[in-house]
Formats: sequence, structure tokens, C-alpha cells
Amino acid sequence: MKKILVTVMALTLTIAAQAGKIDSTQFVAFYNYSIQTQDDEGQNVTDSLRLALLVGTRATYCTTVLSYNRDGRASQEMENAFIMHHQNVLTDVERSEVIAVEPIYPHRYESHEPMAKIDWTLTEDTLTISGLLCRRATGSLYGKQWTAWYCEEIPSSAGPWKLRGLPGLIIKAEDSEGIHCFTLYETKNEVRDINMIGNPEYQKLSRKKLMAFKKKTLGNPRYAKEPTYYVPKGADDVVEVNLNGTMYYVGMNSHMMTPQKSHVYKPLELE
Amino acid sequence: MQRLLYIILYIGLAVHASAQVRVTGRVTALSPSSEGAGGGLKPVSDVIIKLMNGTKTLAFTTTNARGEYAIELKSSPSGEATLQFSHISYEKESERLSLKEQTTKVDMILTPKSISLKEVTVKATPLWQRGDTLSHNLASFLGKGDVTLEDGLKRLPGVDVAKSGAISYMGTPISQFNIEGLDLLGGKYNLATRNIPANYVTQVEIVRNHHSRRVEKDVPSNEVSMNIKLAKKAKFKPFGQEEAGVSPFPTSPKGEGHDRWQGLLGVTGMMFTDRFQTICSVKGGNYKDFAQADMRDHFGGSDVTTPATSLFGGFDGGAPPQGEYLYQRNGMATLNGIHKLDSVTTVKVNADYSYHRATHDISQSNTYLAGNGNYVTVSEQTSPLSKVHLPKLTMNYLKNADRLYLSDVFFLKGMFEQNEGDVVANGKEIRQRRRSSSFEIDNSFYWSDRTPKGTVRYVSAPISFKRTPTLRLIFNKDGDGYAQTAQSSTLKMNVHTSFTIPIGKAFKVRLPVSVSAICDDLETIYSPPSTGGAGGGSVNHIRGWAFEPTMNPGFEIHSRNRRFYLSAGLGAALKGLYYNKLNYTKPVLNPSMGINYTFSANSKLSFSTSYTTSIGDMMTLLTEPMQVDYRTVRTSSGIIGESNTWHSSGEWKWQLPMQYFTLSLAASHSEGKRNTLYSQTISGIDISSSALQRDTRSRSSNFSVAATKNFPSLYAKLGADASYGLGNSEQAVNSDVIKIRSNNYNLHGNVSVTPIQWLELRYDIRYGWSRSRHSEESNTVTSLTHSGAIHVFPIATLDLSVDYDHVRRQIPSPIGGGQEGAQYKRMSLFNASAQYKWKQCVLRLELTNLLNQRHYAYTVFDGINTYTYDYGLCGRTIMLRATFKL
Repeated sequence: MKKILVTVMALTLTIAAQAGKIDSTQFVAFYNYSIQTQDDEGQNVTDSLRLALLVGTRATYCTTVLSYNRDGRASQEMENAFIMHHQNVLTDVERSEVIAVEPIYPHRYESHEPMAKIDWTLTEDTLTISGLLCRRATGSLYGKQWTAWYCEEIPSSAGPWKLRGLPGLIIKAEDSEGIHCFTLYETKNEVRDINMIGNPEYQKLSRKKLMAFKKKTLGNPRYAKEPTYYVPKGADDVVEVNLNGTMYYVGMNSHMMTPQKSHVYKPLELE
Repeated sequence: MQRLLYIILYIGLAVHASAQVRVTGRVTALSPSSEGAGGGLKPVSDVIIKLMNGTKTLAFTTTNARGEYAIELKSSPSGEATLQFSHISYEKESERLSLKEQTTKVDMILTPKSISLKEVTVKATPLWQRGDTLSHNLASFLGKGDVTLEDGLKRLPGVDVAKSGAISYMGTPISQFNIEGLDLLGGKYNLATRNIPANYVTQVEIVRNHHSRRVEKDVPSNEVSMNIKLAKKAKFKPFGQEEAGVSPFPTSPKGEGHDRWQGLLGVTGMMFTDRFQTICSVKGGNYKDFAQADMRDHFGGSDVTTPATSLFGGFDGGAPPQGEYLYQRNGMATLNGIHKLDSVTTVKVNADYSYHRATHDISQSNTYLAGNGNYVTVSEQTSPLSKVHLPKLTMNYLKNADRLYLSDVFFLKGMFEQNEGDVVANGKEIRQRRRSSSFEIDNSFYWSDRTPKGTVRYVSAPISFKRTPTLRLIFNKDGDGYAQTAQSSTLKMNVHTSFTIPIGKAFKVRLPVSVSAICDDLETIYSPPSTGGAGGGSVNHIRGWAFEPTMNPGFEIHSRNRRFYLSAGLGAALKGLYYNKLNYTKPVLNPSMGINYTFSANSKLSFSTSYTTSIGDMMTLLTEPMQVDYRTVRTSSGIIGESNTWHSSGEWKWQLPMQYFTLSLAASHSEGKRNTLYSQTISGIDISSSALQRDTRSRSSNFSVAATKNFPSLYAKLGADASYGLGNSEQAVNSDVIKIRSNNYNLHGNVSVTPIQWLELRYDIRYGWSRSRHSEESNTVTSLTHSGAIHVFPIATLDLSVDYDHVRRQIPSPIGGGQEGAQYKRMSLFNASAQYKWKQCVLRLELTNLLNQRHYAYTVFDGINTYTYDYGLCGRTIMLRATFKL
């Protein structure tokens, strides 16, 4: 069964790597991303995932560390990447466009949107993290109020996910409800290609339609107990896999996997 | 008319347009392909452009794909501004601008950077600073042998945990202890710090400049609070611990022939969720202060103090400064719960009961100045026994929002005491008994709000009723029985109200008004030996009101950057005493002023000065003799005492949290004037005290310095502090006025270090020197105290330790003999323990007072009299105890 998983993940990674190069990294920033949510029995849980933010001169790309390292081994973190509905986000500063790709079993969805302008309010509050002097800023993006700590010593306006536009790299960002949190844990001077993402096979939806679709399907109370409740029968060639005591559905056509139990969906975007 | 409107509109628009400032431009860099040719420039996108005024960022933006940018400001900044250009791949550039023009164009050519970005690794740092909050990652500071949260707190930089469990930060006692942001326990935080396992706590936050009321958040504060954050395993499910212990064989805490089994038993349960917290505990035992320590209220108010109990204190000599009571038995039960109704509203209930029984053995030798250079020495031997029951119920509603503060606290508490204080004095045996019951009902209401314009108003209305129905002292000397009884009732009401109005951005006017009314009824009856203690002696019966309306108009000024803050008040009051024996009214002015200057979140200077007038209370009207103990008769003068004190103090606190360094310097000075003089009269061995109508002055100054430094890589903490004080005062002996001068200094240092992984060392040294001079006499006392501990960890879960306390105290003899005649009393207490942590259980074998030290002696001066105490101590004990995490 592990072979199936490795094949699935290898295919996923290959798809991601197919597109053309648009930029090279100046540096790579690594973040811990956590979500405070509840499991299928209503118990509080914290899901976490490592993200890599590839920062170039004209574009940034935020993906999982597993994808960045081309690590296709089955792990808890891989399961979290599915449960947390992580989006790979390419921000093309030159074209002022954001492309997001998100797997929602049994399809991958691609959305294109103009780069959002976050009206950040800078404050005089400071926080020192590992010797980096950070300043606090607040702003709202897609219906959520964010508090971000940025470091002017790293002169890049990049940030994790779609957060950006501060006069320094975002070191920590947290929403006002304390549900979503991105925390930088490392930066590296690695030179990697930043490639265009997207694929003709992906389902194309506008950001608003994708958000509405997720709200309807993933926001349903049934979702945590039965994460594939909305998938019509026969939509994929599915096998069941038991991996370290957790049951997964693995789609042989979609090259996607999803655990048989999930966690309550906590959207990053509300409007 | 229309024309006029157009003109006004035109002027308005012109003024608005002239106020706006716009900076635009294009950022480029040399294109690599054309570098040699000296030609082409390429636009650079995503360049961060900041418009700065000094260190303040006025506005910022980034360039678009064409390298263009535009920054707009609503108004032109005062002075010069700087435009900064930064990009990860290019050298930082800047340009000075005067911004006199409405639109300024600044193009910039950037130079590629040869050095790439310095790589950064963000670790789980031991300490984070966010404004005034310092967050400590507790696991980074814990030692191997640490079990409870209190053990961990002792290792944090700047944090001091006293033997009683009281926590202070940089010398300031904490004013609030929160668990996950909720104040469940008030001052009884030992319940948490001594029962929550250290590994259940992830973070300890210290909030400097803490405001307990959010509506007052812009008022400078010197308070410190602590908040602990719990690990996931300690949330949402109940947990706790069970403790049990027994001495493996009978020990002799009271001396040979008094063997007793010692034991302890306790269970503590707690639960912490987002909306509800509870800690419940039941404990009992006769080992050290087990079951008593948890109930200590560090914010005071656990007992009931009434005029009757203040006049006739017990015969309890207090706990010995070193070692343990000869024998004690304690019990307690407590239920605490807090429920969060919404993000700013909580309801809290605390119900406590504690019982304390202690036996002492004290030899006391008091030398009194009897006038004309003669001294009278009274030696006595007492074995007091005291029993105290303390029940208390508190209910609290609190709404603490940014704009509204509403609090109502109701409590009901009682204190039931029994005291035996039999004395052998100069070979004669005297019997003393005391019994009292007191209770108190109290309700405190506080409302405060802040309007959108910044006006703050408050109303506070505490009301309390205290009563001691009967307090009875019985004495029997040479077969003669005599007695003293007292009863008192006190109703106290206060209404405070105030509002603060901001005038401009830097000035506020305050007008606090308060009315305080206290209704007292106090009766004391002395029954002399002639009546066999059955009444017929001197009687005091005072009843009436103390009434004090106060008006304290004042102002507050702060600088625009809020670093400087000054507040001052006039303090006008009318002090009135209206008792059956006397009517007295006096207007007073008590001005005060406070200044704070905050250099940064880590450095603050504060200064305060005030003039206070105190008027004597009804106690001064007790003109009939009262028997306080078998040889002390107290008689008040009937003169209303008035004392005026001017007090000034200054303090500077500086810290480098990231370097784990703290430093504080403090100085204070007081000058006082009083219209009565304390006087003592010696007759035989009987002491009587009174007050003479005579002006007297006193003066005192104190200076202190304290510093701490942590070395996290060595798990080491160093601390040092020193203080010096001097002063003078007056006292009368047999109507002769004596001037007393005193000075003292104290030095203290401590260190805890883990030089190698399996060894931990702690050492503490304290030296004190004090001198008191009057007439031709000079008395000096020195004391030196060391304590140390060695912990060895043969395996990670086993902690073998030895600790000791060594005291060398001076007992001057003969009187007035100075240093030449000085005698020193030395005492050492050794303890050892073995502690083994196994899964959810901690097993501990404690060997206390290994050398079976049975006495501890020390001397104190009060200026002219010398008091030497020799406490009997609990002997060698062995205890095997186990703590199970539930």
C-alpha cells in the first residue's frame, strides 16, 4: 500500500514541477502554519504544517516543505496538508496576480485573482524574536483581521499564503480569532526556480466561487466525520489504505488521498 | 450669500490641498546586460519605500512592475523627512526631503548587493518581549529536580519567590496572578504555584506596567502581574495531584519523651477550559506548614481585624524565623471556580476553610530602659498554644472592558481563636487564656467608564461590617484571678467618585471626591483581682462616628510620546471624630505629586512625594486602664494625636531582558512630626505605656539596589541586593525624652548554577548590621546567614540533595557593653532529601533538622529596649511522601 501512496505523491509533485520558470529565489523562508480546530468528535486539536515561501524578485511562491523537499513519504504532515486545505499560492508581483491551487478531493482547483492590497496599519509595538526586532501591523484580508509581526532587517514585502505588503518580511501572522497562525522558523539563501503553477487539468474557478464551494462542502457539519460525503459515487477509482492506524481513501485517477476522518474546516477567507 | 459659500468652499479646498503631500518616482537599477556599456536601466519591482521622520515610519509602499511608486501623506510632517529604499537584492538607499512642495518626485537608481541575506534560524527562545510583556518559555529554565510551578518560577530572571510563596519581580510584589488570563485565586496563588506541575506550564508571562482596570490603560502603572499559559495536556480535562506522607517511625518534634507520628494527606483537583476554571483542594497534616501554606493570601485579608482584636492581641509568639514550630497541625479545604461569561466578563466564587494549631516554646528576655541609665530585665518562659479557624466565602462579578469596568465583590469571613499563653516569669507561674470570635461582611462595588473622548469616571462604594461579640482574657497570678473583656462593632462605608476630563492631547483634569464614614462601638471591661475577675473594674465605652469628606482636585500631564507623565493632587479633607467622649473636626491639606519617565519598555524612572496628615482614632480615648497581658497595662492619653509626614521616594528600574539582566535602584526619605510622644513607665516588672502631649519629630532615609543576571546556557542565576537605612526618632521613659538614632545596612547575594549535567548548586548569603544609639548608649547587632544546597542527579529522575542554613547572630551582653561584650549565637540546620520521579508519581524522603537543633535565638532593638527571643524548634523528623498526578 505504501507503494501506492508514494506513486500518488510522486505524481502530485511531478505535476507541480511541470510548469515553466518565471523567476529564481533570492532566499527561502520557512514557516510553521497552525490551525486551532476540532476533530470529528468535537475535541480541540491543533493542526500544523511546515510551509516554504520561495522569494524571488518578481514573484513569490508559498508551498509545503514536503513539496519543496520533494518528500513523497507518507507522514502525519502529509495528512495535515490535506486536512488543513493548504493552498499553493504563487504571487506574481510583476503581473499583480495571485494564482492559488488547492486540492479538494477528488479535484484540484485553480483560481486567478488580482493581487490584494492590504491596508496595513503600522504600530509602535515591538517584539524581539531570536534577536530579530519585529514590529506589529494590523490589516484585514478577505474578511479576516490579521496581526502581523514583520522584520525590517529583512527588506522583503513577502509573506506566507496571500499575506504580504509590509516594509519587511512577515515573521509571524495571526488572525484575530487565534485560529490561523504563521510563524517563521528559518530563512535560507537557496537558489531555486520559481515556476508557474496551474495545469489545464485543474478545475478553474474564480476565487469567490471557490470560496463559496468550500463553504458549502467543507463547511458542512458532516464534513469532519465524513470528509467525502459530497463526492458522487464512481467519481474516482478509490482504494482504502490503512496507514499507521489511520484509514485513507486514495484516488487512483485523481492521484489524491484523503483521510476517512477529518477536522472541522476553518476558512482563511470569509469574503 | 452664494458667493460667500463658494469662497469658503474654495478656501477650504485650497487649505486641504496644501496640507496633502505626495511623493512619487521610479526606481531602477543597472541592467546586467548593459553594465559595461554604461547604458540601460531596468525598473525594479517590489522595492520597499518608507517615508520616515526620525525613527517613525510615516508611510510606506512598494514599487510596481514598472518600478513606479507613489506615497501620500494627509499632512506635511514637521522638519525633514527621509525616503528609504530597500530591497533584498540591492543596497539600501535613502534621500532627505523637506516636503515643502505639494508633490515631490524622487527617482532612485539602486546598486546590486554583493552580500546575500544573512540566514536566520528562529528557535523556541527562552524569552520573548512584546511591549511590556515578557514571555518565558518555562521548559528552557527548569532544572532536573523541579516538580512544581513554584520551583520553575524561582529560576526566571528578575523573579523572586519568598519562603512564603510570595512572588515579586524586580523587587515589586505581583499584584495579580492569572491562569490563562483569568484571575481565579486572587492572592492565594500558592494553590496554583505549589500544585500545578512545572511541566504542565508552557509559558510564564510577566506584564510590567500592568493595569488591572483596562479603562485606565493610559495611566502609568508600576504594578506587575503574572500570567501562566498551560500545556495542551492541562486543558479541557480535569487533573490534579494526591499527596500522602508518613514518618516511617515516630519522631520527637516536641523533644525526648514526646514521640509522635507525623503524617500528611491531601488531594487537589483542577480543570482549565477556555470558559471555566476550577481548583479544589482538601489537605491536612501535622508536618511543617503543609495545608497552611496553600491558603496564604499574599494580598492580605485572610483574617479578621477588629478594634477589639487589635487592642488585645494573642499570646502567640509567631513562627520562628528559622526552622519549624515546635509542633503544628493544619487543615484546609478550598473550592474555587471562575466562569467566563464573555470575553470581558467573569463570575468567581471562592470558598475556603482553614485550621491552624501551633505549640511554641519561647524563652524571652526583655531589657527595658527604666530611666537614669538604669535597665530592668524581665525573663520569662512561655509555651503558647494557639488554635485558629478561618472560614471565608467570596463572590465576585467582574466586567473589565476597554470602555467599562464593573466589579462587585462580596465576602463573608470569620475568625475563631483560642490562645493559651502560660508564663513562668522570674520563677513565678502565671496563667493566661484568650478566646475571641470575630466575623466580617463586606461588599465592594466599583464602576468606571471611559467615553470616546477619553473622559474617565468612576464610582466606588465599599461597605463592611465587622464584629467581635466577645473577646475574653483571663489571668491567674499568685492565685489571684483577673480578667479583661472587650467587644466591638464597626460599620464602615465609603463612597468615592471621580472623573477625569482630557483637555487637549497632553493635559487632563481630575476631580475625585470621597466620603468615608466609620461607626464604631467599643467596650472594654477590666475585672481586677479584688473581684476575682468578675467585673467591677475600669470600663471604657466609646461609640460614635469618624467622618471624612475628601476632595482631591488635580491634574495629569503627559508628553505626546507618553514617556513623561506628571500627576498632582491637592488632597483637601475634613477629618471629623464624633464620639461620646469627644467631638473633633479639623480641615487638612495633603498634596501629592508623582512623576514617571519611561526611557523605553526596559527602563523607567519614577518619583513621588506626598504630605500626609493622620489624626488619631477612638483608641486614644480609652483612658481607663486595660490589661493587655499579665504585666502590661495600656492607658491612652485621651489626646487626639496628629502626625504630619512628608514622604518622598524615587526608583529607577532598568533591564535588558534578552541579556537576562535586571537592575533597580531606589531611594526614599520621610520626615514626620507628631503632637504626642510615646512614653513607657517601668514599675518593677510591670510596663505601662501612654502618650505625652509634646511635639516630636522623626526622620528616616532608605537606599537600595538590586540586580539579577541569568546565564541560560549554564542554567545559572545570580542575584545581589543591598540596602542602607538611617533615621532618628524620640521616645519618653518615665517622662524623660530620649533621642534615638539608628542606622543599618543589609547585603544579600545568591547564586544557583548547574556546572555539570548531574550537579546543581545553590548558595545564598545575607549579612545585616544595625546600630541604635541614644544618650551615651550604643547597641550594635550583626547577623550573618548562609544557606546552600547541593543536588546530585545520578540518573535523570533521581535527585539527591543536602541543604543547610547557618545563622550567626549577635546577642549583646552585658547591656551597653558594645562590641567588646558581644556574644554570638550560632546555629546550623541541615536537611537532606531523596526524590525519585517515576511516571506520574514523585516519591520523596525528607530528613529535616538532621543535627536535631532545638533552639533558635535572636535579638531586636526598638530604639531603647532590647528583646531577646529563644525559640524552641521542632526536632529531627523523617518523612516519606508521595505525590501522584491524577
